[in-house]
Amino acid sequence: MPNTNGSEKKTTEKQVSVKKTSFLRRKGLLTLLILFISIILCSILLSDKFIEHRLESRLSLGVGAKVEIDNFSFSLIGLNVGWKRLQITDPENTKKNLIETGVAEFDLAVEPLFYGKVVIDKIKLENLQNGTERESDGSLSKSQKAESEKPGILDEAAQNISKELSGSTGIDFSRMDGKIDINGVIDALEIKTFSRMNELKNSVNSKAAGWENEFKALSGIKDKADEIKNKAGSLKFENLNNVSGFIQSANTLKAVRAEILSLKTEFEDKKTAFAGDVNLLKSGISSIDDWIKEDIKTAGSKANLPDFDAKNIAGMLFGEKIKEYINDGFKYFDLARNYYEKFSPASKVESPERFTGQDISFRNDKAWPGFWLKHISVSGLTTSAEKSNGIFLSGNIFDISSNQKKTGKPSVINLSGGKTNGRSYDLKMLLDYTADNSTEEVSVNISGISLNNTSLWNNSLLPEGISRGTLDVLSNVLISNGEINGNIKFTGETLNFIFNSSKKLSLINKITEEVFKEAEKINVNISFKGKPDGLKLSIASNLDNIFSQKLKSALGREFEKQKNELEHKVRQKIEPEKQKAVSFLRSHMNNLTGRLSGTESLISADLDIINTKKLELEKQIDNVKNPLLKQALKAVKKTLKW
Amino acid sequence: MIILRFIAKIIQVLRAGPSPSQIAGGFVLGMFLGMMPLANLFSLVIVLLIFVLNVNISAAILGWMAFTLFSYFLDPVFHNLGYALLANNELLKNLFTWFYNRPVIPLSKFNNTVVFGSFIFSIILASPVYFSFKKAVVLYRSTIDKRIRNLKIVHAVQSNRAYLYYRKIRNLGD
Repeated sequence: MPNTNGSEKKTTEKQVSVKKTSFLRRKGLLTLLILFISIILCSILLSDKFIEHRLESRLSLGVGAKVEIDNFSFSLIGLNVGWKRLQITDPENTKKNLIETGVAEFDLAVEPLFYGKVVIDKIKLENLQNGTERESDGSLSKSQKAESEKPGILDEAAQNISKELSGSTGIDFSRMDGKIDINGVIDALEIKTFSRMNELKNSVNSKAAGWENEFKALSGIKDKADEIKNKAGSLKFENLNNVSGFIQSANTLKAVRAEILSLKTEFEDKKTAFAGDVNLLKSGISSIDDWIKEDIKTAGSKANLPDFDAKNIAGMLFGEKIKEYINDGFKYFDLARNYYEKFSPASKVESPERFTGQDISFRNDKAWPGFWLKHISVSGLTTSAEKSNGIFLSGNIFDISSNQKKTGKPSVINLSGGKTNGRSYDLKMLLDYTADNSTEEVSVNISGISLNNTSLWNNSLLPEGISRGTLDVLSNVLISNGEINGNIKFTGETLNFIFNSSKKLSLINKITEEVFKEAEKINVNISFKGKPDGLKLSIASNLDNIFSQKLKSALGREFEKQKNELEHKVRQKIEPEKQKAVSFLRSHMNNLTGRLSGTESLISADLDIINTKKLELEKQIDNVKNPLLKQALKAVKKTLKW
Repeated sequence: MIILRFIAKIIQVLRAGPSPSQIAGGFVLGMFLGMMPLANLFSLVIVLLIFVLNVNISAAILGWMAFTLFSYFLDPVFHNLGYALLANNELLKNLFTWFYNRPVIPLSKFNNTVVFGSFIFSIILASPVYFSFKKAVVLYRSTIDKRIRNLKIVHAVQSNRAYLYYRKIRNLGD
């Protein structure tokens, strides 16, 4: 109560406070107890709906489309969880479900919950399906939609493959029935052989000026050789009868021999010097033919002669279907990758949403990630779901977690199944983010895809569609360190193509019809390797070879004839000049080689004469009767040994 | 109507009734609730404390309402403070890691930047706010309340027939 006696006193806390109260509020404690009991009761009785609603809204935001859970049950006592049906809408097609399951049940591990982690040891799932029809549209309202996903690594790869499949077949079908304007090509052709021959002639002429001096030197050698020949020829040994005579003759013979050998050495030097020029002339003659071939090839390309090596015929035929499968497959693969990327640790978020903040992770000794589903056991089709048009899958899924670095285990998916119409699927996936360099691998095999009544590429030359047939797909994609390595094989069997019989058939139409009627089995093999922006593709198909061979046999002769005619005309134009050039080069070459061989033969002849004279002298020595003289001449004979 | 009754309740509390300590204590606990995001264990503990401790609940509600407004504008400050303490602080890292590996404590979401930043901010403000508010209550009771009662407009309202009729019927159901 305030002071009423009028004196001004400083009012203190004690004067304004009322009676002392206890530190704790008994009513509050009672209220809390009642509240606690009510919460327990409510959680036992009502938690299912509440949790179901919360899960649906959280999962819907994460997926980007509606997630619906029917008959969700949660028991606080044993931490059992289950549902009768789960539908996860396909964000790309909100009228269908990406995943639909039947009954599921599992237990939550208790201890991790106290750490805010959700760990589930095993889930049993029944009737896992993909692509089932929805009763209502599963798209979210604009305010609910999560931010759009950035393009995945495989989007770029899929675009590159699509581009390649849409690429040229290498055959210009419009040219198949056309002719070549050969004369027009010849007139417009710039023949390089002429200029090259002129260059060669000029080069030879400039060298020829230097040869004259050399030829003069050769003449000198020739004259000396003649002189030596005469000298050697004049040597006579018949009248020799004394030692000094024999010695003098032997010395003369040796001196003449030394002269001719020196001349030979001089000649060899000259010959070596000329050898390079002789080779130039020889190669010049052979080069002219190569130049002519080059000009013929240029003429061929200007004439645009059709190439019969077909490629990508299958891409042209089945490209759209193949692109569809590749895009779908890559899309699901990217979906799995994108969800894992959301959970990877991030650097500081600069402006998070109000009241949201950013969670900072610390080392967790318990090695529990925020969410860890250790094993999903998926059973197959049950009778209740027979009428569905989705894909039924069964198998096992291991270690789906929000942080693989904590679990140390990659996620593994092994599922197989099929559709009620006979198509079968086999899916194996490995997502390994346990190390800094991630590895993702997926292998999808689909068999028995019906191609009955399928429309094909709208091209007047090719079949309109397929009335009957099946397609098998075998694919394997590995992504490691940002590089993609994959292979997809499509095999079409028991194919029956539909052709437009009302059209008037040209030659090429008849050929294509023959090809497709004969091809019972068509395979397309797509291999790709590298980074997404620089992917190296290789597309091969048996259809390309069949097509090329048929084209070549039917049309090849006609175009071969035109090709030969073109070549003949090019040669006709070049030939006169070629003859002149060859004759010019040959005359110089003959001149060079003639002079060289003439001198060389003279020197050889002189050497032969000397050898003959040596033999004569030796014979003369042997014919000496006087034994003393004979004995003395043995030494002379020894000096003639060469 | 509820707002008017609440305001009346606040005025009643300030004038007389609980001690200034109880009022200030309630106000500070309300401040904690207003500053921090509600969906975590910290907030639950604060609510329990409000019920269990003998603090004034109306003052707690007042504190919660007043500081919720502040927290909207201070959210970036909380985020930066929380990040600096949680992510960029090697000294406390071992302590936080220890907390992170204990049961139940991670449910408090103490590793969230806004939760931790706002909690630390509230701890820092707790003492000044408590003593300031306590002093304000004392001041109100000793001087301001008298002046308000003596205002002509208050006299005019209190002598108004409608007001007199209202005072008669308001406690009829009690």
